[in-house]
Amino acid sequence: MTTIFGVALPVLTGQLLIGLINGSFYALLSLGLAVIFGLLRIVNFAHGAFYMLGAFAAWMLLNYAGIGYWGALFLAPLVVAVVGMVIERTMLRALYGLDHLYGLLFTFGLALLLEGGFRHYFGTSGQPYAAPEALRGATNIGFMVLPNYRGWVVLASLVVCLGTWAIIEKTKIGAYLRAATENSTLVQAFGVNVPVLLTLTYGFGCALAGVAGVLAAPLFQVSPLMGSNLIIIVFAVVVIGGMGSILGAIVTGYMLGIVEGLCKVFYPEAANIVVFVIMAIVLLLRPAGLFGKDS
Amino acid sequence: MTATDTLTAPAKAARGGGAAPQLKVRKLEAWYGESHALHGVDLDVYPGETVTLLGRNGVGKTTTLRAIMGIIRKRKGEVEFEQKSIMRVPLHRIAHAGLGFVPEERGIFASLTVEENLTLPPVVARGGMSIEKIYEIFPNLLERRTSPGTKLSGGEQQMLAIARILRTGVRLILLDEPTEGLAPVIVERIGEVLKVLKAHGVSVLLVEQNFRFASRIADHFYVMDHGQVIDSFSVSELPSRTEALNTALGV
Repeated sequence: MTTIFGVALPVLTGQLLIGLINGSFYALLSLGLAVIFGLLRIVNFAHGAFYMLGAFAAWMLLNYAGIGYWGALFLAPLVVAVVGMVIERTMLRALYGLDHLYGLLFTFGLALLLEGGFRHYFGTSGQPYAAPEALRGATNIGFMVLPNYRGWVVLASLVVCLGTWAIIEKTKIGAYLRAATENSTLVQAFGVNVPVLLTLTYGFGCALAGVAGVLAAPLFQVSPLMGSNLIIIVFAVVVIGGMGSILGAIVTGYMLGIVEGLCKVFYPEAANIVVFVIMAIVLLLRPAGLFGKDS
Repeated sequence: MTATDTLTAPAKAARGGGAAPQLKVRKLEAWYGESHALHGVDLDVYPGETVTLLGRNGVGKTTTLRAIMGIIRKRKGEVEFEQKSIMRVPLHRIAHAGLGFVPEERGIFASLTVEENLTLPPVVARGGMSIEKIYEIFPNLLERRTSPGTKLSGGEQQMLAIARILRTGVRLILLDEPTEGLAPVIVERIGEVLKVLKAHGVSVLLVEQNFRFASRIADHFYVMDHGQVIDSFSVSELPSRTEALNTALGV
């Protein structure tokens, strides 16, 4: 059997795939956090709860409305975006201009509230959600057997991440967003409705978490705590990549997923903390993050 | 009669040729937090005029522009643009009323290309310059259009800051210290650009430390001190005022 550094190839590729899957979620979630922080200067601690909300929205659409995976892939993020925008309009808005800490505390409280609410109705045990028929089974791609749904998750997250990057870097609305991130007052003085831009951006960031939630539903169980388990690592990813950097969030997300996967092969004992070790090193050497600009 | 009325009385017949002021500011007060920065500013800009606010550093010239524009929300008094009060208009609607703003720090965005910077402000009215026309006047911007906005030289950034407002079709531009820190040859170019503006009938309210520069392009002057307008005169009165002005401005 082929081995690399004394590790069987299937073991290595298997862990790499798991790393890539985790990286897909890190990238999607940290991308949303970066977009929101860039423009709103809000550290969105409710992001994990919105991810959970996306998964539950998919589960509810299926169980209460009979809408399957493909419908949910579009509708659930929309539901999450609407919830996010209502929260931005009615509550979060009042915190702009105050210290970052207020936004952080508010969104943290919001996350507890959302998770507590779902735990009350659904308990802590997860709800099963089946992968869509078309993506069940596995494909032999030569060096490994790839479960179709896992391949799909990596592909879908790549498409969403690159699509988001393209919207921000290449379109007019993206130019508004980049400009407002630098100097929102001036952009508003030019006649752009910045308050609406803030609402849409928060909604969009939350929708990215919602997409991640739907993608996650068939892989992990749909449970009220699925977000809080993940979000701590995602915040470490954001710190490593640098707050507010779009491309940095995406690249760091995938990179750390893979690093984690490799660590499971070569030094499993450290796999759960490797991200935090990297975070500590980055904070010491480059406090603004790998892709962040000092400010 | 207020002090300003007395001062402007002789020039009144000439200014605006009987037309109403395009921009009318009365008793404008503004605050930065607790600090009272403007203590009742009165000024007029008539259609097509270039009006310059003179005064030493820190007397409230920039604050006046920012308070007129509504960037400073803590303000009192009256600002009328084309006979409509704009005191209660939200900031993002002000440009659509026909009022443009070029900040002192120029506000060129580093994460946008030159062309993205140029096309960022929405066109708010017809009569703005086309991109082609702008590139004709500013060939440098065409050459550098895919570079990040802040990679331009200071002079080019100032040109870009003015050019992007030309595109929008606003009828009055608040222009804050366009010549600050620029080489004389660039200052000359900016003077030409302001003349192009005037030829297009765009009014300008200019804040300028460079009195020699201002005296060549302005039709009317206001002198500010301690957050108030203390003097007002037209360009024809300039020669007789020069000495008093030098004292007032501390040059």
